[in-house]
Amino acid sequence: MPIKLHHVFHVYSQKTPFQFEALHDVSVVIEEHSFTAIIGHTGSGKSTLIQHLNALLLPTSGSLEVNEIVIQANQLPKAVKKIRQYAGVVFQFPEAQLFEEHVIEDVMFGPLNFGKTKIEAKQAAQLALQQVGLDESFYDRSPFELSGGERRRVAIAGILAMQPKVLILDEPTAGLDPVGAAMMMSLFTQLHQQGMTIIIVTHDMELVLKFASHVKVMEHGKVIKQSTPKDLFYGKDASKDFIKPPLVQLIKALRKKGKTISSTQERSLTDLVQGWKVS
Amino acid sequence: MAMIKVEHLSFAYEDTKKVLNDISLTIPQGQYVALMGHNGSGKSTLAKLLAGLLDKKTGIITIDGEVLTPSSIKEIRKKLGIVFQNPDNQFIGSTVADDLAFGLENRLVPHGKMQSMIETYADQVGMKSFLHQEPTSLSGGQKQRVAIAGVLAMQPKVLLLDEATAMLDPQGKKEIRDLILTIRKQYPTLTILAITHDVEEAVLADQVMVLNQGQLAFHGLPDTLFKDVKLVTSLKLTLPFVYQLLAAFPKHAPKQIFDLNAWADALCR
Repeated sequence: MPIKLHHVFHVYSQKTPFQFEALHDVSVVIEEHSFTAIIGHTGSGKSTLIQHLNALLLPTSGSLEVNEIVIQANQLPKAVKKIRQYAGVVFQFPEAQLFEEHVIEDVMFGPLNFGKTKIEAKQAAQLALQQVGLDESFYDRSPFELSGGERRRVAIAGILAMQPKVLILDEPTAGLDPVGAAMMMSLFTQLHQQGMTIIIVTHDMELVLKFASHVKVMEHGKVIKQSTPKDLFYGKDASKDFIKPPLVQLIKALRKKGKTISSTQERSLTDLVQGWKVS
Repeated sequence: MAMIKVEHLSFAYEDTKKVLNDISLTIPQGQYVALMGHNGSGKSTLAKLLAGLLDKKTGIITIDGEVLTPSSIKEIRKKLGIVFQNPDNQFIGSTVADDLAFGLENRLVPHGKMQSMIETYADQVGMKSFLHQEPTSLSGGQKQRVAIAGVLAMQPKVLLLDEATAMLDPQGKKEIRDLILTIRKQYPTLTILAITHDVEEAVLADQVMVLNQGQLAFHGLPDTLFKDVKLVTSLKLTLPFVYQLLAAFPKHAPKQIFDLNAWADALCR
């Protein structure tokens, strides 16, 4: 089932001098099995939006539908656990939220919390750690002695261990070196191919161009565009408001000169180069 | 003249293997250096040691001719202006003007002079028309520009940017890249050390240093580094876009490798 938002508003600190409207009349559908990117300037409401998707924040007005469960304004649904298990959120810099003494216990925390037995939780944790590329030698290490990139993978494993159908990621590559970022993205691509819905908040337009199937553009608390990478960077939704990846500039220049570029080539330089060498 | 000199510097956090292992380097006055390296390579540790935020284990650090010791640290810190990663952790005042005033007050600048200084430095980073705005109404890039203005007002000899663009959106990153180039023209003697993961930023520097496993694995021109694909890969870095093109189409390269239209011309020839 897709996730549907109907006229969602969210106001922080309502009726105080700090009152701030972070979401304004957002109505969107996030398709099941999609790889959806949410983009927009800092402060446009992206993080507020994703926290609604598993009821960490509730709409001030409007409603949303997640896994056939309706979340009404200001009302924590009874089935909140079901929602949180269905859609897992990985926050920005999630490595700051590790707290257990050993990696394996940290990853087991989620499944235990959702009522799994110790044995089931351990199996789920082992599988999740394997998915993020951390082998047995990490199980009994302290999360605090790991590198930043490793810690982030432990944090993501903690969410995967709950076996969500939707994985929501807020800036998962921020602060990682390029190799760490590429590994992270290949993990999400794999999960996506296995059928998981991936929702990613990012500033990195190259990632959007390369990986996303759908793009939602936010500005001042509104979703101002629902598009695809193709339309957003090359087609009818192209806009001067944000900086395009250099690949887009190059491909536009090549097309102007009459070159034929395929729809996979326009998304990754590797594909462009391969196609070029073949022809 | 050497502005920063590091000799045989080694460092280990307690009970771990060496994070920095026998590093020696020299940065002349007025140079813009990008310090790169993958997560865990030791670059933040090096920056903290240079700023005297960590106590060094072995080796000598000299800044502007003065050896860094517990007794010289106060004087040396006056020469260093540091801008950190998170724009929200560095904004102290309730408005841009207040924020800039904070540092000046600490330096006991007379009140009469302060207003004009605030305007001058805000102007240098393109934030003069935002002086009375609150931080919540500013973008990340704008906040970092204010942080840089605040640091410039202290008239440092070294500007240390510790991943100052890492948390910014592409627009913000570009603003800071452009600002660094402006600052260089305005302060030709200011030494800039920028720790960064952004290869597009590193391309603009005079020199690039890359740390790997606690050692200085490269120190030279950005162009030399990015033309050496094997080295770049082994250091867990990526190539800037135009250098990816250069690696893929070495025979097609136009004279102006940074010009994408020139690339399109060359590729269609």
